[in-house]
Amino acid sequence: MTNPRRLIALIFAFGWLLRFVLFPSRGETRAFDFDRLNRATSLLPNVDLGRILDALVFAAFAFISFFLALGSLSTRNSFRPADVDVLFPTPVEPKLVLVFRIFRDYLLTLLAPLFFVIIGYRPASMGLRSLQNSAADPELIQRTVRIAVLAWLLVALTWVCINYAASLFVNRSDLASNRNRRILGWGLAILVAGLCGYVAYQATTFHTWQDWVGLTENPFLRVVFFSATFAMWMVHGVVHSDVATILLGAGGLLAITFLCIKISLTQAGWMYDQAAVKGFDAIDARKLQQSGDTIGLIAAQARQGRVKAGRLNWLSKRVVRGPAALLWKEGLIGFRSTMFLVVLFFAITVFVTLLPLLATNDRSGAGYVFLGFQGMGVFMSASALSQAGFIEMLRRVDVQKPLPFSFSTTVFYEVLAKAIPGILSAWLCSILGIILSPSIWQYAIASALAMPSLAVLICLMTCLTTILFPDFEDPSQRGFRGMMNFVGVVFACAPGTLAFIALIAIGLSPILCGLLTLVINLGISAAVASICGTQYAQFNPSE
Amino acid sequence: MLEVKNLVKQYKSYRAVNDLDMTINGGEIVGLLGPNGAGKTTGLRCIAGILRPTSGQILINGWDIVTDQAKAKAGLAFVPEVPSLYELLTVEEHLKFVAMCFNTMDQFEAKKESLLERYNLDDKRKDLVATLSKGMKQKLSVACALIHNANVMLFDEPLIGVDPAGAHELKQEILRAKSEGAAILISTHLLDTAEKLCDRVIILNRGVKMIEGTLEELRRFSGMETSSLEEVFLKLTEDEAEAASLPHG
Repeated sequence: MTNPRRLIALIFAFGWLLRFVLFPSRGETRAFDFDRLNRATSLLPNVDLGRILDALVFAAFAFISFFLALGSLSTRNSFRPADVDVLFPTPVEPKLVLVFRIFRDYLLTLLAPLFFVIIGYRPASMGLRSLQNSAADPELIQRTVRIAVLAWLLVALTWVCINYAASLFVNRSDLASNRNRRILGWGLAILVAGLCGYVAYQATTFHTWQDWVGLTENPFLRVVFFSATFAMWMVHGVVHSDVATILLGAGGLLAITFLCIKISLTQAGWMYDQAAVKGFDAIDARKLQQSGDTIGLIAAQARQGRVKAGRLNWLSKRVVRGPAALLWKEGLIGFRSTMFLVVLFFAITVFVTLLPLLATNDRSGAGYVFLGFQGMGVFMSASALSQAGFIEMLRRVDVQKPLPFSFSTTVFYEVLAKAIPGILSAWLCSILGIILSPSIWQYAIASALAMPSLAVLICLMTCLTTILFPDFEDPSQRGFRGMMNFVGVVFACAPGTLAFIALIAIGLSPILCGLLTLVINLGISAAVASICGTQYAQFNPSE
Repeated sequence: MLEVKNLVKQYKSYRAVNDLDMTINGGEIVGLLGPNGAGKTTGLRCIAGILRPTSGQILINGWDIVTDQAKAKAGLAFVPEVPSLYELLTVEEHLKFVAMCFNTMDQFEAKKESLLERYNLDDKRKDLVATLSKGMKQKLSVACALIHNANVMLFDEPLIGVDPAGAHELKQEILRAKSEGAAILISTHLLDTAEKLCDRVIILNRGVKMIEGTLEELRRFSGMETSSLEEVFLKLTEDEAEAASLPHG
């Protein structure tokens, strides 16, 4: 706990959770409409509410368990470099540190559903209250909710302990652990794939809601989602006043918890080793993700051996000379880092642009729709892809500025390199647009003329705002930069876009409009490029 | 070959480099010495074109680094203190990128093979730069500086983080470049290295050049005729007020 605000937030958070356990049905009341429920259930022959409740509880806890199990094989990443240098050399027993970490992670896990509790408490509480008022045994509903919350507390504890035990066991820096990690990783992947396949296959044979209820009673699923099964038994036991089932459910969860704590404690000696070797990789990765530094993120993964150079001989063997080498470099870095994003945005742009042409035979206004979606696609891809590249450009001033080019040349090629995906997607969309709907050919050509200049302009504005607000590790500056970038892009693109719309409105040929927009955008680009060049020249990474 | 006239670099109210003058001719190695915060790195970064000088002039082969950037930098090589390399290029690609930028692809293959072998980067040629150790990155940074035909070379603490074999190789490389007529400026804290390599040294303190000369001239000036450069340096920097009052050069 580093400051009082966090303490207050934590007390508030746990207060909500506690209140839900102690007073699950406090709030306004309104009589529950049992007639309506009966009418609804009368449509479902042979309805067994107990069975449905079991199915719902199992499904809910299976869902929760799935998310709690994610990342169970990865290194626990809550250590910081200062822990390694300061905490680890102290005589504090690693087991004690481990228990503290488990407890801390458990508390954090309990906070996860807080959002839903805050939103859902009032309506859920009202519903429960009215159910209670109308039900034959009001206490039963209170008890059921309480035991469900208790089951959640136990399931969360169980998974935190499982995650620690598994993580410490498979992330030791010995060869056996490497093997274990691979076996477990593949085993879990096969299990999840098999599970998805099994459920999908079963779903094809389902005709009624009872089939879905039956699926939750499947022994295979009950074993795989063991924590959900134990939680369901706890709730089932309360509903049926079966104390043995409650104890069996709770006992099962506690037994697994204690077993995992024991395994974790036997592995405690490896905890410092793991933290020192790769414990804060994840913290670094999160920071890079938050700052939108995709290239830095991939470079961090490369340092861990998770990214290879790959087969890019077709590009790396090419020889270009002078500043065009900056495009060559950017191409190689792009293929290794943002390729997935490039393909994704490329596909989205092509899809959203061409879908209206494919979806309807009505061609009236198709050209405008085409241009609108095209512009949106170019805006998305240019602004999303260029930021990471400009962060890298600023990070490498020591190697880039001494290159034998003027600063404006460097900026021009860097911007062009980042705009290329947007330019290519615009041209491809134009070609496909003409093929799919020849009647929009004028709009497609207008797009092929205007959109590349739009992509360049957006990249230039991103470049300028990145240079002006270069501290990508500072969250407040990051947010401000994003806002300024958006405002800058809107202002820079507005003249060309508005001119295009106005000229189209007065009935000018779309091709001519596209050409004029190109000229306007290039004019603005030249002005922004000049400012960018000056700012880049003055950029000092030490300041 | 390298001429610096009245170089000033100011950050707001702080003057990191103040009125620095120096001339380095071809075939000469000059050491830039000074305590931490003396302005060595800032001075070097201004000369490399990374920082824009507040005032003054920097001429590389007669070309002004501010007004004729491209021509000035064509003959320049800079090795920063912390290697700044594109981590998602392979070692080989990085060398090729620099060679392509400087338009020196004619001799690239032969030079590349020689550098990779000399700096023990041969088996790393297909590896991403991100996977290299700090020392390896430093070697690659030096190799990038040597891959093109620079005749003005700037080294900022080039031996930090390099293993003894690499350091030996680098020293030989610097001497080789000197014999080929390059003008070399080295910023370093390693005084024994400066003593062995440099023809002249410049001692900076708080952005101001305290003294410039050969080791013999420095000894005479400090009145320590038989002392090492380290002893002379310590004497001069401790006795800053006295040294500052003396004429430069």
